[in-house]
Amino acid sequence: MQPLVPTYQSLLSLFAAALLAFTLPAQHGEGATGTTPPPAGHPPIEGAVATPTAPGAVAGVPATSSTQDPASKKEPEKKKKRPEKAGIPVEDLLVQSLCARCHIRDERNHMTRISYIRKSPEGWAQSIKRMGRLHGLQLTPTTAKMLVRSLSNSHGLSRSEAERGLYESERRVHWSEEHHDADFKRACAQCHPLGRALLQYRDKEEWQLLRATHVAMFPLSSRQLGGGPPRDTSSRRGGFSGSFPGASSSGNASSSPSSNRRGGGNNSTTSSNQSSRRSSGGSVGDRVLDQLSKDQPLFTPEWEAWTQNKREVPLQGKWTVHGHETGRGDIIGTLEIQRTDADEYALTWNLNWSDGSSAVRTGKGVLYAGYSWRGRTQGKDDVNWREVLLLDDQWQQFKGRVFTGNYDEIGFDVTLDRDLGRTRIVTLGNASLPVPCTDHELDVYGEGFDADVKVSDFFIGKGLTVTGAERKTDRHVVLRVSAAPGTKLGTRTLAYGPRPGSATITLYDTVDYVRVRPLQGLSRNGGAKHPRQLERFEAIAVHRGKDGKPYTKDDVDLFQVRGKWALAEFAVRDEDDDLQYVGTIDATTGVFTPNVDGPNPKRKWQGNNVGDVFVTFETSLDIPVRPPEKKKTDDDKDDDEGDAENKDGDKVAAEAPEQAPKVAARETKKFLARSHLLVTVPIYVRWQVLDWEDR
Amino acid sequence: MSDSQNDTVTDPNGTPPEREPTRKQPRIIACNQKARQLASMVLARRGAARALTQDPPPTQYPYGCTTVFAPGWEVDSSNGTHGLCQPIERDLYDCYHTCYWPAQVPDGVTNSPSWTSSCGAPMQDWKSIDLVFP
Repeated sequence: MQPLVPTYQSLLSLFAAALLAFTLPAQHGEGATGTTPPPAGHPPIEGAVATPTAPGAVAGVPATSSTQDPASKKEPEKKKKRPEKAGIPVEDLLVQSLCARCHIRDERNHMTRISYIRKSPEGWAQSIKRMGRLHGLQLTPTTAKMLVRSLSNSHGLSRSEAERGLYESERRVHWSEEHHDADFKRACAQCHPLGRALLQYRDKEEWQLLRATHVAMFPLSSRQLGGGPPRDTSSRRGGFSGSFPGASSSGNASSSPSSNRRGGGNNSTTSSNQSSRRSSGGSVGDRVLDQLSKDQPLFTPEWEAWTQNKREVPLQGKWTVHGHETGRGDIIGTLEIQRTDADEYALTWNLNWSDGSSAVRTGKGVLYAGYSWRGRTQGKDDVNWREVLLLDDQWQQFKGRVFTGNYDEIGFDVTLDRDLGRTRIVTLGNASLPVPCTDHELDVYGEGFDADVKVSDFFIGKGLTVTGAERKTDRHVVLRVSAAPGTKLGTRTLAYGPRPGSATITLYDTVDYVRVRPLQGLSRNGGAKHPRQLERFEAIAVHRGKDGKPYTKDDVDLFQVRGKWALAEFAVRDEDDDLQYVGTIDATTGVFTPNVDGPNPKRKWQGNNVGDVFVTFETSLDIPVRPPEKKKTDDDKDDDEGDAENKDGDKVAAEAPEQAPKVAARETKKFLARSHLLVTVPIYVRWQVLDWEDR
Repeated sequence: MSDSQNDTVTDPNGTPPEREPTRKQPRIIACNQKARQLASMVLARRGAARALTQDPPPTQYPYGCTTVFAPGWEVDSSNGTHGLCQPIERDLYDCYHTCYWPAQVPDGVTNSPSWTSSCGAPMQDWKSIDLVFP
């Protein structure tokens, strides 16, 4: 089979060259029309000459070439006057000089392609790396860094735009795209997260060119997106006839001949045999690109508002950090930000986890386009952590993810609140209180707590009493709180002084069950050649919520519980043997370590150490006994109806306050929980982003 | 790669099938060792092997990509791993040459034309397969 490979590859190259010939004239504007001849030795490409777009033509609509239209020969001046497209000027001399070799700049400082696209920093980094990989652009790391920053600021995303696909930038392992349009998922999500598309804003022609570039670089993507040369000619040139990932014979994901010119938009020249294969609404790719053109255009009100008010956002100062890390528990700490240059900052993180561990990390960060924070830090462990955060509209709060790991799988969600220079509560710890309880220790985190902080400074609502207040630091106070029997269950906010506060406390009567997070884990073999992708699990005690029924949407997570972790077979076939091959889980911490990559000679057909298994959790908890449910009488029903307007749906402890015991009876109860873990193969290509910042 | 000696035998043990296939009921031919092993397993239970595309589909999910169509990279169509190509090294270069999984495997069309130069036989020398950072 080996001798066939170069032949096959050469066919693919011809296919790609043909597509590029369809694409490049549009990429380079009229000045570049005809400047991209077919590769040496390549036969004339049918349609390539007729492809250049007429003035103002939208990609995909065939232009009338000068050879076909005699009238155009008589009026060459008119053809040169292509209507000016609205774009974003490139004002930075660095971008102008470095990109001018391929991207033509007009008198308005509009550069082809660049002026009609906006992207996240990661998107621009990907583009610049591709220019170096495929088009010979040579940059020093410093120059590349400056280029990414310049483009991310001048052709970046506003806050709301960056938020839509933030999970892609945050490199999350667990996220869901179920709510997105089925066509959108079919066209894009079979290869990469939709977030990659959500973080781009383009004009209509650029969306078409995105497809053209995809099909030129990855020919089989025409099965999802459409586009590419006509099917009949492409097959003679070695086109593809196999199915593409996820494409079904009944679906519309197959290449639509209706979209075979310059980016593959709909056109009116489709032959009759081709049109018979068209679906009523065009191909999936056509529909998706049309929708993207509407939903993510080059200009949006948000972006124009931001550009009018653009300035360097002041971030220097201290920020309160709070969050949660799977397995390690809640996080509290501070971040000191020191400005070092325009949009550049030096960082010092001081973090404490509820499992008793702590870390001090230093590093640097950059704020792109006024809202998007990208940072990296190092600590004693000599491991790089990255930060992807998004600033809110009021410039007072960051939200995002801090992560590390071979696949960016080790991370935690954080919220950062800027110090305002006044006393206030930011977040709470140990904030699930059983009813009734006495002297429950509630951690209050914030800023500026007075040395003589008093019990009377705090108000926590009906049925709860603050019996003591101990100031640990000016950012941490421990309150002792008692809950009277019969106190209404649900949530409360803790107020301090004249401010109502927003930090919430959860009141519960008992633990109904325990659940494992994540419910679906993912891990990848590694350790021999490829890095391992670890997975971590944690168990959470849960209350049944307002509706009184467990396992429903309104159930409330209470607190993390410790116990014993194990794996169990998830049997899907006879003699399923995944359990003995996939790897091991730490019985105490819930950290799963996958087995090594590569074929396993001991396994049937030398299979990899992949498989899917259950992750089981077992623990015993000392919990309050729920008082017996009070049987409803007719009078009670009347009372319920009378109270309906005043209730927000919270359940009330069954016993009346005067009848309930002051201290709840307790019992030791065993809880079991489990989730599903998928252990699969490595990824052989890593589309790293923003690694310029590491150099 | 079909085995000329057995390419017309449905049952690897030489036992004729219970019912002769008709034109409307095409016969699946086991043409390699793996397929024959699978056929023998199914025949032992049912007396006739069926492909996944046949209706109704079999209740048991076979292992390996010989009889599973278009598996995913991380998961198969049943959100498990039993339908994946196994081991992945056996099928890796096909993914590479056809640019089938461009987000998971280097593509031989555009970005990594010489990826296979360091390893000619991935099943035997899989540790020399490079991880690519484009």
